[in-house]
Amino acid sequence: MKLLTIIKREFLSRVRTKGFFFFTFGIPVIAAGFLFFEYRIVLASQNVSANIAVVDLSQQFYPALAQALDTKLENGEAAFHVHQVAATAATLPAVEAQLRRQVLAKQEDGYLIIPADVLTSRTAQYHARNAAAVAVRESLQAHLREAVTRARMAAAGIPASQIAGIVSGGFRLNQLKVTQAGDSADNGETAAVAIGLVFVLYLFLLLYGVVVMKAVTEEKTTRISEVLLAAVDPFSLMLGKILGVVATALAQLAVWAATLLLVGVYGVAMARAAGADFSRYVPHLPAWLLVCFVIFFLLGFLLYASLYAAIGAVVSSDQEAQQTQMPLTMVLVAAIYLSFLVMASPSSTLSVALSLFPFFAPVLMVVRVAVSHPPLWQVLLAMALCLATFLGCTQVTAKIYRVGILMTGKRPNLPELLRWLKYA
Amino acid sequence: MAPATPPAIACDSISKSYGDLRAVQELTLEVPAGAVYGFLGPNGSGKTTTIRMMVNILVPDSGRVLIQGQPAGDHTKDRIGYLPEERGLYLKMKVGELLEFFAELKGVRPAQARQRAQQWLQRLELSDWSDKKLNELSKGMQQKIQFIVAVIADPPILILDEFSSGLDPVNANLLKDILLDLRAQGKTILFSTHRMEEAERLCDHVCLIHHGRKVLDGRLADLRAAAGKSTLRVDYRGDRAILNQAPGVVQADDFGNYAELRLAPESQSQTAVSTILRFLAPRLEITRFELLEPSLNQIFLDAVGGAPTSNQQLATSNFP
Repeated sequence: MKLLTIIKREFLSRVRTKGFFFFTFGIPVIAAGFLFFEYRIVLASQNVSANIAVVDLSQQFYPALAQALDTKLENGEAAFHVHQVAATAATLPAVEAQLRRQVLAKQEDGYLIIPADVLTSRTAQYHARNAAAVAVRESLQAHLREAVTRARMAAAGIPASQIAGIVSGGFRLNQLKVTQAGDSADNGETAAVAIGLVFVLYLFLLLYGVVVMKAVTEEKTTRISEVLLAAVDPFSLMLGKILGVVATALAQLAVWAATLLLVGVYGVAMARAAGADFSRYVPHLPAWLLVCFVIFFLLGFLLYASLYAAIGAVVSSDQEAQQTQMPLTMVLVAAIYLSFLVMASPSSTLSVALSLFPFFAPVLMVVRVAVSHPPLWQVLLAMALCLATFLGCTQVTAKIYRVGILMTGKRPNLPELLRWLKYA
Repeated sequence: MAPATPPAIACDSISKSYGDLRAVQELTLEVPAGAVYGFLGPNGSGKTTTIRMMVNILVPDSGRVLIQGQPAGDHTKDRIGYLPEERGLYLKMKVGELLEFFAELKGVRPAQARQRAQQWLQRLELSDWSDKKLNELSKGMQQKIQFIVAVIADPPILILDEFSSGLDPVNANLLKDILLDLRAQGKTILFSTHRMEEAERLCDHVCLIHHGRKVLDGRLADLRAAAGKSTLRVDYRGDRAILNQAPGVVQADDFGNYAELRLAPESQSQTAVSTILRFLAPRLEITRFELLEPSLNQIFLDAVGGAPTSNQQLATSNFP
């Protein structure tokens, strides 16, 4: 009951601030704004049709190319305005000089030269003012290649009726992950996703660990803690503060995740409606990995929050806190670095040991689950160790806090800290 | 007092040390239920450490504290309202919400907490400030809020550490009236102070400590009676040197407009006092001549004068 009162106050006093409001709702709005803006720009650039002059020295491919390029933009206009410019090998230099002038004068966007020996050389040149217009280049290359391939097949004596069947259809390499439960589709995205998840955890720990620390230091410096301790036991107080701040962070995360999900679902639906298939870009996330991530995220968050709270209980000013939190940040950074090692050989003895160590487990065990299949008992053991360490840390923090509030002034060294634990 | 009522607070030979510093040593005291108890001693004598053991912020190294007959612990915290010497509030919270928070923290239901907060704000003439943040309040108002925090859960025991420090006379008087009211309701009130005259006005029981040890305790009336009527107050005009020459006067404390003459034990009879008056009357212009019980300050100084000072250095370091 008292624990709830403390959690409620911590949560409400943070959530009600203007800063929290802007940060929580402002960031998705700004991000969505950027996305929309970028979408408009991409759309605008796509809705410009390209004027292209074609010099077909082979006298063979212009009709097929012009037909293939006869596509419409989203706004209904033709994507390409293609026209043929007559030339022979002898007149080519003069024609090309003329075309260059037209391109520079922006009468044309570019010109394509299909050489006479295109069937054997299999190259053509596209000269354009904006060489980075990828969409145009890709279209030209794809359609020209198809036309040349067809011609080469015909030359090799393959009947026209079969050519269409051979040319159409691409190729795709599917990568499978070998596991004890059977092989499953995995294109290396899970590892990328794991790293992404781990960084989310890392960012939130850094962001909100400091909030926990400040919450504790503030009560010390403002001398509120004495009244609080006269009403509740220090363990409930510490636990309440930590849970309150973590609840704040989760509320924020929930808003962001919901926004992301909404934008994602809407975006994919829009893309599908427009005919594009994004489904292969949507990462395949096994449910088990998601469950592990959520649990370890909470445990890791609580564990590190309790450590930051301990620092808050020891120091008596913000500057001191900055210096004292360094070792903790180092541990976090170490966990991130080690995650690459674990990713490389997730089942080695070292990886197993590291992923069971409570301060690394929230990062490393998630990585192991993402890239391999660790035994269930290892995952559960890591969770149990994390939880036990969190409760232990909170207990110790509570003791430090109880004595620490009564003694402001210089920061205690380690022997003094141990003596504090004895006083309480 | 009925024997069935256990003392509100009982300390049974409690000690507390910080490293080499012995803040409280084998302190035994009893605060009777319903008493207004003055816990007195100079700065650094161990008052706050003792109080922190009563509210279970600190745990004694040895000995034990009983609250209404039960060992002090987390479950006894709701029975005590505490006003610490070092005041502190959440400055960014609204007044009403802060009071509700502290009431709930002491076990009051939310709906009742709201009602109590409004009642107390009204009583202390702060109703208009309920929705203001604490940092918009003046120092004096914040002091009153801190006082409400101590009393809002309606605990049977109140512990006020240096209660009047920082209060202006008007507010001090307002809060004193409330304290008297609470006493009439049967609450036990313990307050610590280093100002003896304040304790003298309010308390029926006192305990004097010095260097972490109890010097004396008991009912104020009993302590005074035991000390005897050993002081003569003389309002006078004239040569102060005369005062010291009066027969049977051990020491004359001259305060300018008046003096307190301390009498030798054999000079505390009616005839001896008459002799002094007869001696002074021709030599000074006397407007008042009164035989007094000694002040608490005097009782304390007398008791400490005979107390061991082997641990004198402890008092000089101003430890909690």
